[in-house]
Amino acid sequence: MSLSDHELELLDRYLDGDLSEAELVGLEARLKSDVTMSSELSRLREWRAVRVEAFASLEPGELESQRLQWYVRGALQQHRQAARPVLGRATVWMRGLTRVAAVLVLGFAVGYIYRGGVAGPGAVTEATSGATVAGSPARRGLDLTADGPPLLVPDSRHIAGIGAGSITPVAVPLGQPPAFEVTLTDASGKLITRQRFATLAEAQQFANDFHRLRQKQLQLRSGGVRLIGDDF
Amino acid sequence: MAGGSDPTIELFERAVAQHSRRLLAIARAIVGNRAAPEDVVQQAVTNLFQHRHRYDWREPGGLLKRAVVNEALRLLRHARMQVVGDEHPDRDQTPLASMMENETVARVREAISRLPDHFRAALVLCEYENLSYAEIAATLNASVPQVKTWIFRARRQIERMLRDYVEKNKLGAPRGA
Repeated sequence: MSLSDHELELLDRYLDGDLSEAELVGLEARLKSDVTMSSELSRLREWRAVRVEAFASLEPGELESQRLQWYVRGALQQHRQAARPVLGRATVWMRGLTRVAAVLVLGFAVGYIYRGGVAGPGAVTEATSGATVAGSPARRGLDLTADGPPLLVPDSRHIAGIGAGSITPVAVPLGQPPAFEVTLTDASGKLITRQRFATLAEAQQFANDFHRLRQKQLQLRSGGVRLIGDDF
Repeated sequence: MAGGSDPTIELFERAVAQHSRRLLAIARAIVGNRAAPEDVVQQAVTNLFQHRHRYDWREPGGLLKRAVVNEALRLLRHARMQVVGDEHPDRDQTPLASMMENETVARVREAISRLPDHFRAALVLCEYENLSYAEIAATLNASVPQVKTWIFRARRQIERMLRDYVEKNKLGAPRGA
């Protein structure tokens, strides 16, 4: 007498360790009394052992295992190397672009000043004067909050030798550290640059450096050298 | 994540070394000779490596095995679309291997290789890896009843395929005989 599919499934699940406690108790009781069932279980167990052996026979030997590890290591290495140059290339490109951009900006700024015809040697020496109240004309060129509390806004002054350059103390709320703004314009009054500094010394340094750069450019140009900024 | 000393890489390489034999056996059991099992393992491991930071590497065996099973099945699906009529491949064995191998085991192995892919994968995970039905279901993206059915049918199909051989060699009374 053969077993039904349901009974076979029960035996399969028994061998797979999937039976619940109640099912297990019921099946074990039946196995004791049902010869067909118990011989079928033996047969299934035998087959299972052969299948496990068949699967185990697919395991590689030591040499094959080593070879696989070698393959895998190679693949991972390749993967890592493939990832690295992409980053490396990007970095090199970024560095190159940054350098080119810096040169262009510098050349443009120098050329622009030069074409503006700001003349005469000299350096920035001072930058302060009397103070006025916020909202006065002295605020021109400064980035102030419109609806803030009353601010101290000292007047700006043109700096000797640089033509349209000025250092202006920035209006700050009372109790805040001071700030100074360097504004450079060309002869026609067009803004070239505006930079903000924490101290007057830094602002002067910047203005002086800018002035020196302009002088250098003048010298180069008088020697027949064209700078990138000349074309702008 | 800067390169240098990534602890995950070390864990990863150790896990691969530890499980490589079983991974290869699983790949072989599933793909048979329809693809190189080494390629299956290599691809699975590389895929896993790419996303290694997503996983918990404290218990890498399960992860690696799951990756190999999925890669093997993916490869078989792909191969089936390209190679029509490659449903019943025969294992090509060296004469020496044939001599050394137990004939019954060889026949069972051959019968296993003729099972549908999912039956074979489920059976390998159940009987060779001793995974529970729920774990197999999770690995194969299937339901537990589906997995039970696959395993049940796989076993019965193998028995049917080998019925003549068993009867001839009196290896065990086939069901219903």
